[in-house]
Amino acid sequence: MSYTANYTDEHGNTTTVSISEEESREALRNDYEALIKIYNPRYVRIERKRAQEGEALHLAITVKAPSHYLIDNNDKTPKACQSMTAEIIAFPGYPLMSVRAFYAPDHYLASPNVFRSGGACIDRWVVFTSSLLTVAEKLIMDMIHNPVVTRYDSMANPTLEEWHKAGVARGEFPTIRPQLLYAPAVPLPERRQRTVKTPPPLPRRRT
Amino acid sequence: MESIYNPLKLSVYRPLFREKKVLIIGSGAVGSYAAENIAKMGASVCLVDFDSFTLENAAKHSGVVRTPEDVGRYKAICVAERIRPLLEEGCVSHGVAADLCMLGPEVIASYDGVILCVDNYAAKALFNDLYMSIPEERRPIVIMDGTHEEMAQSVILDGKEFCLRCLLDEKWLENGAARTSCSGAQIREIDGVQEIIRTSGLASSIAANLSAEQFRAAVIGADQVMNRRVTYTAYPHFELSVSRPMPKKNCPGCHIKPPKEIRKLTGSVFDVTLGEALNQISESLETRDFEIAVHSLFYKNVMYAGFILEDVCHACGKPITVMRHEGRTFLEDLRCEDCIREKKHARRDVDFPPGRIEYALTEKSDPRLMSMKLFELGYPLGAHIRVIQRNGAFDFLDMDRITTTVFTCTDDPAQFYNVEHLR
Ligand SMILES: [Zn+2]
Ligand SMILES: [Zn+2]
Repeated sequence: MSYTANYTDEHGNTTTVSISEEESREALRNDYEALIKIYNPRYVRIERKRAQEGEALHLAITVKAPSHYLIDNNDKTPKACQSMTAEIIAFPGYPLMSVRAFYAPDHYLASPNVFRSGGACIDRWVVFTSSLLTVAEKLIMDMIHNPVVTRYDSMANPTLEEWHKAGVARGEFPTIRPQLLYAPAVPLPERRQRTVKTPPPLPRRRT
Repeated sequence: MESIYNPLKLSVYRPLFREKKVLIIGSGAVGSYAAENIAKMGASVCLVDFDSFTLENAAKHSGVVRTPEDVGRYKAICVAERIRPLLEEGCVSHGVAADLCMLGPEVIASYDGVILCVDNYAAKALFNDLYMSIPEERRPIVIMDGTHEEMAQSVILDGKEFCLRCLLDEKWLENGAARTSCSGAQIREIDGVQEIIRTSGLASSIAANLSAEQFRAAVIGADQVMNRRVTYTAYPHFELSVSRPMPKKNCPGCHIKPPKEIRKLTGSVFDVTLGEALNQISESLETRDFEIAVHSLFYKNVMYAGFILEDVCHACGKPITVMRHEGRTFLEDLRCEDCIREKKHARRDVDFPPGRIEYALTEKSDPRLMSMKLFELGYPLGAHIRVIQRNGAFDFLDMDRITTTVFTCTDDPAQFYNVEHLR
């Protein structure tokens, strides 16, 4: 089975790409390989977990930097911690199909963009613009409370809006200089832009 | 066989059509005329359309549709019924009120010809995905028609030179949007306003005539019929022209490859339960180490590939049991019984936490799923059901170990005649 999708680049030009099952796996591998090169392993650990039924790739991303967590559905008091872990699952239909991201329900990130169930609110999935890389970037920046990625308009946990804004106002958030999280050799991604361009025309096998 | 007609007054080629089965997708302005033509030609006709007749379009339909009696009736069911008295002895007409998303490649493959009379590009693109998933030697003839202002057009293809996507202007295929901004279920938007195509009723009937004539010529075996486009223009130049469309360079539609092998499941998606499917697949693959991928519908640039077990009411936030495929779930479906009764609308402005969604079905899946029929689990009639074997792979980065086998239910094409609604 293959799927045909439209890709609109930053100049507004639309092209159509068809992706077979093999190409979908290649895209996943390319994005994974790009992802593990972006961050500084001293601060960001990216770990593969065994993929369960229905999953194509299951990653745990740990940011070793100050953060805050909540412990259950009713918890409204963020508690300080020195590291935070989020998980990302990609599915066999990647990159056409969106990924999912979540935290442990008993140790989830205190953020307006994280549901009290632990589910992470990632931005809308736009085919060929969103990728493993854009989602990982959003999660990592959220874990250090970097307000640049916080969406106050799309709130999973609105009770934390004031807390988050106060942290920003006091200069406490982000909790660490975001630049430290990137691998030294990689040029800094532009803020508010997608970090790495996913290759829209996937490597097409010539037969 | 007896005929109601006097054969001496009809074409000598008429007997060639008695065994032919034509599927007409879309039963409105063009589809109703096409159905009338094919029935009168002496072939069997099936129709699919999710929509119903409205008075405002009455000036465009074939005269087989009665005004005002047929207003409000499902177009496909109504047209099939209205053309029935015209059918040749032994031929059948059948209409199904359904969205194209409810059909899989194997239903399409069971016809000799398909006439695509839909006016929206997303449906044409979806049809092409289904069509190109059929192994080349089993692809039926496809005729796609269209009207625009004073022009009517019809293209016939056999799927060997070019595909429908080669003929579509990609800029028409606007992006669909998933509703949620968060990582919850992908919820279908009700298809918005259709593109309004201003055209004369005559153009619709001519488009249908051109399609019928192309099908007829292909069956008779006339020269230089296949893979041609016929264009009729009324104004400013009155003309009828024939051209041969070229395959588009790097066409994504042509790039679609059908499965190399399709294995059979006994029964149909209407009667095979997940439990039975798992048993049949396990016998065929001689292992129990596999998973059935939940059906993936790719429509308007959004992938719907999950089965929603639980979610929250999108009006009041209370947990609800959903048990629906994402591609068949619309926002208003995510409401609890109380909110439905009190007519509270689902909210678009709130981000609800993601529900419980399955992407693969196995022996270990929720026990409630085991007794559900494959259709209820989201597989269309005639679906290609993908079964994934990981063979010990840690994940999909371990690509070389993973194998996919496609299955289909053998009774699906026949079951199409036993339903009137697919929902
Ligand atoms: Zn093509
Ligand atoms: Zn409710």
